[in-house]
Amino acid sequence: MKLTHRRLASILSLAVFATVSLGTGSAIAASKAVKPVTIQFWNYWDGGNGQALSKLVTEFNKKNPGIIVKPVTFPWGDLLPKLQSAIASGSTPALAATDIAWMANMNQSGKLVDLGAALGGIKKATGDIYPSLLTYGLYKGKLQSLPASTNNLSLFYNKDLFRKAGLNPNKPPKTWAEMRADAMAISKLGNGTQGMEIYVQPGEGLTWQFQPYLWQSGAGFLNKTNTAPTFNSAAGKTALQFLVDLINVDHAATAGQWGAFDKGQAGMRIDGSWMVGGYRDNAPFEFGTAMLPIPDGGVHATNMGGEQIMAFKGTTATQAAAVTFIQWFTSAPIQARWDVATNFMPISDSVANSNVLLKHIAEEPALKAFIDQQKYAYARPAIAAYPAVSDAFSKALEPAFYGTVSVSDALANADAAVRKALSTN
Amino acid sequence: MMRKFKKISLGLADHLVLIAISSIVILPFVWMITTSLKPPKLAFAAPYLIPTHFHWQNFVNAWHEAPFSRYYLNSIIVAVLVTFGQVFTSALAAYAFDRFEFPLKKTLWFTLLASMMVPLPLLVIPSFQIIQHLHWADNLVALIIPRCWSAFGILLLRQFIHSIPRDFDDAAKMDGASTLRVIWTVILPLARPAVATLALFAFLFAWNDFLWPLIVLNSPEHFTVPLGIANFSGKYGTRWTLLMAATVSATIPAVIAFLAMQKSLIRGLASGGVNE
Amino acid sequence: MRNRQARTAYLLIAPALLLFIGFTAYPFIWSAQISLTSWDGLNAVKKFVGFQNYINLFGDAEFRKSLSVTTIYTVSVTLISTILGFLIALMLQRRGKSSVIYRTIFFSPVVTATVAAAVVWQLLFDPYVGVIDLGLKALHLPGPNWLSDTHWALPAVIIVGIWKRLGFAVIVYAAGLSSLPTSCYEAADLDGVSGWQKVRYMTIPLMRPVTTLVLITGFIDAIQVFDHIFILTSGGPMGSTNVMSLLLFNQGFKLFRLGYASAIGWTLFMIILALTMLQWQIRRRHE
Repeated sequence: MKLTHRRLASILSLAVFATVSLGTGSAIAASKAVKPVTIQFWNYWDGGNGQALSKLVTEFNKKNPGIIVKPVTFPWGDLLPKLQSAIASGSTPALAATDIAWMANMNQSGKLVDLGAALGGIKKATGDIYPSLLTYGLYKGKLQSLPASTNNLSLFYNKDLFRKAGLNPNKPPKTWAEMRADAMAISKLGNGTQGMEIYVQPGEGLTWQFQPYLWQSGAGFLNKTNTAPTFNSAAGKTALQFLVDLINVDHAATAGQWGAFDKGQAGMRIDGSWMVGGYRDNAPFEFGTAMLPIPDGGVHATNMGGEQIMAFKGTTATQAAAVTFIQWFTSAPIQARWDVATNFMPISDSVANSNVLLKHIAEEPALKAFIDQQKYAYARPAIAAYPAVSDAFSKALEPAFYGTVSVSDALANADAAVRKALSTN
Repeated sequence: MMRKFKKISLGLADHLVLIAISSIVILPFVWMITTSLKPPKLAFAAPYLIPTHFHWQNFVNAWHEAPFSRYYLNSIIVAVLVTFGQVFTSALAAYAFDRFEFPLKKTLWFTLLASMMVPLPLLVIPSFQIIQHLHWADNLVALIIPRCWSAFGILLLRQFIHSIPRDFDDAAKMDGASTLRVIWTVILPLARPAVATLALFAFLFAWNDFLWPLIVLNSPEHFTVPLGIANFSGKYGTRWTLLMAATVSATIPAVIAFLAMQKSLIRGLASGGVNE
Repeated sequence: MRNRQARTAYLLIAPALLLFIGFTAYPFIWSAQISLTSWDGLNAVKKFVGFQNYINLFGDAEFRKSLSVTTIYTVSVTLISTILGFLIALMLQRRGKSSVIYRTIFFSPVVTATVAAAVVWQLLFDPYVGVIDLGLKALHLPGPNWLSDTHWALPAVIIVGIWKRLGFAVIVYAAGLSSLPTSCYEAADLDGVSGWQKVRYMTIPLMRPVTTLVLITGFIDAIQVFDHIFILTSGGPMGSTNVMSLLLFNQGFKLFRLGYASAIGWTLFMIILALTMLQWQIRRRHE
């Protein structure tokens, strides 16, 4: 019994010691970090994108001996709660790159550095960056973030499955009707093979994948002032009916989890340019890309994605370091190399026309569709209510894909839910 | 007599049932290992359960991207200290609740029990603001100190201590032992099964915890095992073979550790007789 | 004397109590304040909206659905893992060397990080390359599209929940069984009592404290379930696996409705508390 006592005591003192030393450890680290300035850069660029980023950052750190930027990667779904708790408690990193869809909310936090003021005026700070990309960074006349990357959705298709189904692997569909015919041909291969993979899981994923159909058909999503939905129209019904029929009438698609195309089990899918590198290296099939097919009498349209980079208020030193990094990272030469490494799209003409990028596109023909498509990219509404709107919209549409609610009812429900989300958020 | 008893509990049918259930339980592990050894292009190709490729490069890459030994160390530090912390604070509180009368006892007891029903995600943001005030953000301390108490632990130990006759305390007190000493030298050894159960529960909770470490930690060198794994699946595509190599790296040592410790664990849980 | 007793008691409770106040009670009350605002978690201003969030909650079909999903999940995982754990422990009783192997197998999921396990299960449930459906097809049984089917997604996440939980029940029961007095059983053998009768009239009653323990810990774990469902289905399809923690997390951290999320959390707390008190009342009346 004595032994137990002594053992317990020693374990407890060990525990106390360990805890105390952990605590002081960080304090020492903090006091040492007077010079140079070390700042964290939160982002969700993982895998190849993450490696590309750390390469660039290493270069930056070498060039700027007074600054050490440390990139920290979190999974996409987890970065937002991290930022929310950091902002709520005043422990923000110096730098972050986030999804453009979150920007309206980030802008209201009051914690972002005015980049226009820090970089000698908005005009000077933005250069020839495309104006459509700047909407996410401007808030009450101030520039609070800059585009770090942009991208869009185009059509991916599985050339092997096209061949097997007797289709021409070099002739991807150009219209909805062709897409439907191709999808039906491929689904006849059996074994659960889908002609077209459709994203039906509720959330921003569903909305972001479906919006191009709305824009192509002319239905639109919200009105110009972002105060009311416009999708509950004849054109909107045509768009939704098209996909719902692919699933429930043609049986050329399945309402289910996302991922069949990656496994070589679906003929077509809409996805972003960042998948090009991954498919080239890892896909167990030959793939091609094309601009999104459009309906009869419709227009070209796709959805714009990407990330904004921002600096958070902190000490003069960390803010200056963060601004220096943003200026460097958004400069044309660095952006061109960033796009080459990640297959993201250029943010300005000077990036698009740089030799580095032009050479890369020549070597990576699958990117061409995305470059062509980029000028038809629509921006999602940059309003604080957007996440709630998107969620309500996707939840109302989900049952239509499963065939439990009619297309017109689903859109009517979505209309009501979106109006409510707009008024309460 | 013993022989007859054995005859009843042993049987071929039992074995068959056990093998059937075990093979279902073990299925994910087999799949995990096989996939972790495939070249990336074959991640979704048969065979799924018997490794035919040995693409060790996945492990090299996974370890290159994520320092698992570091994650392990962090996870172990956190889980061990949380376990000791919970046992320590629960033992003291449980003893007080069982052996003493004091003002507000019933109210306090009820409040502590009710706190077991608080949904944890609710506390994330307010708790983190407190951590921030204490300057514990991005520090393992923030994973340890707030978790060093447990309403369940107090409940469990109090029930067990209640079954230990007060004569034991009194005998020790006659010898001049202080209350703390009585708890350490008399009560805790007698309550070993309950302590072992609490320790196991606390350790596993800390070991598996995901949301709270995610919110609190920023620097990869402080990450715990679950956070390290989560970073392999992302918005821009999941790299399955790497993810599986990471998962295998994160799982196998824990299983081996259990294999080594399970005898003493069972003995700890059992001795003294759970059924007083 | 009484005073001194109280002082000692408070000193003993102090460590747990201080941690409770600082890291549970205080943030909990704070969250009540948030639940009365329309705060998004980012905005510098927290707008006070009174009980509006709670009023909205009453008309929220998603919340009601989530409540029933959580109930089904919690009850099934807790009950099935407890019963199965008991039966397995019973079979493993006095089984020498081979029981070590079995126990290790059953316990492995418990020590596997939930996040890692969920990722693996996601592919095991896959309709194309998933081993489960391939196995069912080999037996000429229809393999459902587990995670995408509104009827099968909840059973699928329950299976994973049981898989993760089973080992804990097995170990705790195995320990409990190993400390049963053999003398009673020998006496029963002498009287020619059958194996099943021994389990029914001796083992189960003797194991009651263990069973209570396994049930309580199982309940605490299951009602808070988050990690593996977050990865497997994110609550879908059509909310069929949208348990409370997930609903709360999505509202608070994806849709920027932290005020509403806090109201959900508080309502859930009140419901569980009320049910527990009701159960205590009933039990007290029975005794």
